[in-house]
Amino acid sequence: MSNPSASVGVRLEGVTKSFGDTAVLKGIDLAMAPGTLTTLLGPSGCGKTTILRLVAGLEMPTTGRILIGDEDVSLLSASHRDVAMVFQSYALFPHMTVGENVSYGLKVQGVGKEERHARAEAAMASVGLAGYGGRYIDQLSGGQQQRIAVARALILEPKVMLFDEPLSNLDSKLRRQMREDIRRLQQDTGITSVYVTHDQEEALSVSDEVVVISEGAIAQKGTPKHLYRRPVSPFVATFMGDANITTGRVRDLDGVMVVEIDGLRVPIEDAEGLAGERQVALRPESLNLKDIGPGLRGTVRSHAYVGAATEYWVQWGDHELFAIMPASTREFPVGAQVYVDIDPVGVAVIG
Amino acid sequence: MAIAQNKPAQNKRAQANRVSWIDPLVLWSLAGLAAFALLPWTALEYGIFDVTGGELLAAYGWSSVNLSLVAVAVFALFMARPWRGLAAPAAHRVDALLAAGAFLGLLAAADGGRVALGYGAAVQLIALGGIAAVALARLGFIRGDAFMTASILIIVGLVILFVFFPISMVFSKVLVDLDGTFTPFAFFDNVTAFGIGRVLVNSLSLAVAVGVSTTILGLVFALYAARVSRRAQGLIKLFSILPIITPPFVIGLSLILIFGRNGTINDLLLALFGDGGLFIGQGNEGWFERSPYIYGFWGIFLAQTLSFTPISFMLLVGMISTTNPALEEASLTMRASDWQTFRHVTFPLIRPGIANAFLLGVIASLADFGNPLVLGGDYDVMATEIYFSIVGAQLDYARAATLGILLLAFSLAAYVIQRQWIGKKSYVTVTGKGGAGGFQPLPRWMRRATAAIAFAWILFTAILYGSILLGGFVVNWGADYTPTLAHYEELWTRGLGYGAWPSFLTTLGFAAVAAPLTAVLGILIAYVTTRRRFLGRNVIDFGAMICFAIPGTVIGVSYVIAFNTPPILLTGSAVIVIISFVFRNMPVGIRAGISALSQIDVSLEEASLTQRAGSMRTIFSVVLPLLRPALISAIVFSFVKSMTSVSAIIFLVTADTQVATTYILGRVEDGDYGQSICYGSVLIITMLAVILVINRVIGRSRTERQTAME
Repeated sequence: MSNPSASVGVRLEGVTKSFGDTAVLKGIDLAMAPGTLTTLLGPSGCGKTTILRLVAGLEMPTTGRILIGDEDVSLLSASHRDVAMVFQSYALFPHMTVGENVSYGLKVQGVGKEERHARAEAAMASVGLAGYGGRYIDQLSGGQQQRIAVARALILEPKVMLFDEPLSNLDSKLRRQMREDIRRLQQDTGITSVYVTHDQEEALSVSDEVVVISEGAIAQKGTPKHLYRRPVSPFVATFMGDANITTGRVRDLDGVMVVEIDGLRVPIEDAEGLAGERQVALRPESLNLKDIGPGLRGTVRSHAYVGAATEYWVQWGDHELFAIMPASTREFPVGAQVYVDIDPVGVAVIG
Repeated sequence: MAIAQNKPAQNKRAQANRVSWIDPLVLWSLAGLAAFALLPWTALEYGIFDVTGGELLAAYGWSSVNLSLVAVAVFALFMARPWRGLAAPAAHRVDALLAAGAFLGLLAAADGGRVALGYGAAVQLIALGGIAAVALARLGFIRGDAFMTASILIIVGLVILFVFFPISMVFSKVLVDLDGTFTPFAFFDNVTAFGIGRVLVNSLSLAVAVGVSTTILGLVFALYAARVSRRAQGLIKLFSILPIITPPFVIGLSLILIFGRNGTINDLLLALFGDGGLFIGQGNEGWFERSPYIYGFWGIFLAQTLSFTPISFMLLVGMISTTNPALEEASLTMRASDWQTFRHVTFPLIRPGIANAFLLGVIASLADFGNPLVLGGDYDVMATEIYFSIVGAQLDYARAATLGILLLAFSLAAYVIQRQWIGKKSYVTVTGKGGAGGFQPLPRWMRRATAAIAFAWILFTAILYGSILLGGFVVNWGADYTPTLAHYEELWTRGLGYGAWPSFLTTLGFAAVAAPLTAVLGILIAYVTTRRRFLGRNVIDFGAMICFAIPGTVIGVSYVIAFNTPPILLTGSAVIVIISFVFRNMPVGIRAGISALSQIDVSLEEASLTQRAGSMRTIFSVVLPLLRPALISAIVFSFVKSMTSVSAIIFLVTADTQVATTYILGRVEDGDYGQSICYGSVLIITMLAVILVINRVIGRSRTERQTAME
């Protein structure tokens, strides 16, 4: 239906937001390309939801401009913006049936009853819930409520879709499936979407671009892979997944860039211009415990069996390294002297 | 995506419709001009129903050269908007400033020119407010929401006009003498004037005594209802309904019937021990004479204790039944006895509630007007003394205003302390999750004692209400117990223009108009103060707080003082009575609104807004349906409260606007207890019927079952 080429971008220019004396956003400049899904990722209280609500028109910026396409919507109320939002709590109206919920926006627009009906049916079908229109909300499961909330947002064919932690109330299995469904719907419709989450796995899996927010400012933005491989700060590195932060020396070794950590050399890619003393993030999955070198020499402090893997804490100098080993490998007892080898895939030079 | 293909065109049309709407500024301006053309611009002295043609014509703005032409010029200017060419924010700023300036200018000019504003001017002021709201919304105020902005402006305007303005006029009565000279020290002269100190001491000692007695009794009943009785719901229901449906002086009246000079007890004692009594030989001097012992401190104390115990009960029973039973269980598992558990765990947990109940009792006692009026005798309290300063031969506004300020100050102080207490010291955890187990039983002697006291109280209450119901059916209680229907016939069977009917119908009419206004305004205030952040919210909060704390007598005296002169001349009209009902009972609506709104997830409203419904649409389609139970109970409650209201309106009613309570008080003052009791019991039964019928009709709706959507 919607043509991705008709999608419009969203732009925030120098947006700040204060509640009383508390500055929640400290100058956000952000452009989201037409038809893409951008995730705002950050810890709770970082301001990511505020950005979403500013785009929705549920808050007004203290300073700065918000543009949808070429239109400056900074001072427009929510009901005059061409956006739709999926809420964390779903926010389905308890006093209306499922069908009335889905077609609410059409009714507000004055669309006739029959057409409302037909379009609501189509929208419910698109989320796999055809024929549920007559039920009340409390007769649906959590996952079904979530789908109805998405259907309700889609029915107005908005220029921008906003998702506020839409999966946080679902169990992990359902979450994975809904995540895929949302991604597919977004790509099918080509509606520019902004997605807020504090779950990095969710962010990495659904997004075209991820924006990491910290304390009201953008910490870093880029593709999921870029953020994972090249975090600009220890904060981003640890937020994109577990990471051991240490220091290493980046140098050019006969045309191959390597990072040298405690004498151990690990080849790295895309490291031009990074030469010198750098902070390095080591992902726990890429740390391998071995009996013999090469590797970082340490002692096993403790370990925990977690099913598919075993987690180790290894004392290495005055650092403690966190490593995750597949359960299939042999176990190292507490107190064992080990060498920790590093898989280059899991090394991110910070900066 | 499967969503049908041919729809965007429809969507575009709907959007186009919205865009092509006439500019709301033009609509508001047209409303202002229409008001000028159609409605009388100045006030009509005898109301719109009794006006003569000549008076009506003279009241129109276009009948002469006057201030209204300025307003017309302003609206014409808004139609033309010569500044429309300015860049967006500048033009909106001009709109907002001009509207606000014209609004204040009109009021100031009317005040200066002693012009009493009428309906036309009122509509024009509202239209100016509407223009300001639209302009402010376009400047991004309240998230660009014109409807909410207008609501807030209206609320702020009403609070200023009907709360702050009257109170400031009370102060000015004290600080400015009749010639308009500023006399800052007159207040001290008035405070130290003869008699005021005594009245003050009377009021405060009564209030403290009543606070103590209602708290103790309320605690006893609350323990009984929450921890002893298995049929506590009945007691709770009784306590929650009785104070609402009982006109404020009826308890006092029934005490007179039982304990008064010619009351049952005196009769009984006289028959036993009096001159010629059963135990005293004929002709011997009796041991007992009729005495008016019920009039004075103890009479008022008894009446207020009976009237206000339910208030503290309702507060404490809520607190006791929401303490976590696991805490008491924990204490018992640590080998504490049941008394030690009560003493060291349960009691400290509810202590904040006890302090709270005490302060509420103090506030209620200070504000009570009906009981002291009926039972006071020589024991003057502030509430009644204010009344006597104005109605008597004294007509001493300065004295009334001084007392009013003192009474307001004490009530407000008690209220503020009470609010602080709730805020900081409440241990009650309202999680919605009950503890695992039930409550542990209280010590046995406490169970017996609370049951005995509760039973005695219920019996006494039954006797009092019984005397009210029966008292109307005897010729003259205390003197002649011959059964008769004469009082009922006198009041109710002589046609709608006679007896009780005019005041009864007036009361019903006023209450029916005031109740929905009260509920809607209260809930709207609750909505904007809990759901929106904006400049000036403190004004509304403070105004609402004053409404909560202000005694009715002070409202009454402040309205009399404030609305007796232009530009807002309302004294003697029905409008002023209805407005006093609305602001007197508004806390009911606010409270109902706040508690109901706290159950409703804000994102429901936001979902509606992002579905392109405006805030007005959102309120009607989403908020109100979910608030329906709260709205209805607020309407019923304020209807009933209006019917029993006396303290505020006794200053405001005239012969034409006599209401039930003031009519009954008139009969009491004439010593005609038969008719007053008869009327009182009809009032009680009417209100009981209203409550029961509405409860039955509404039932438990689907929405009520699931207002809370997490």
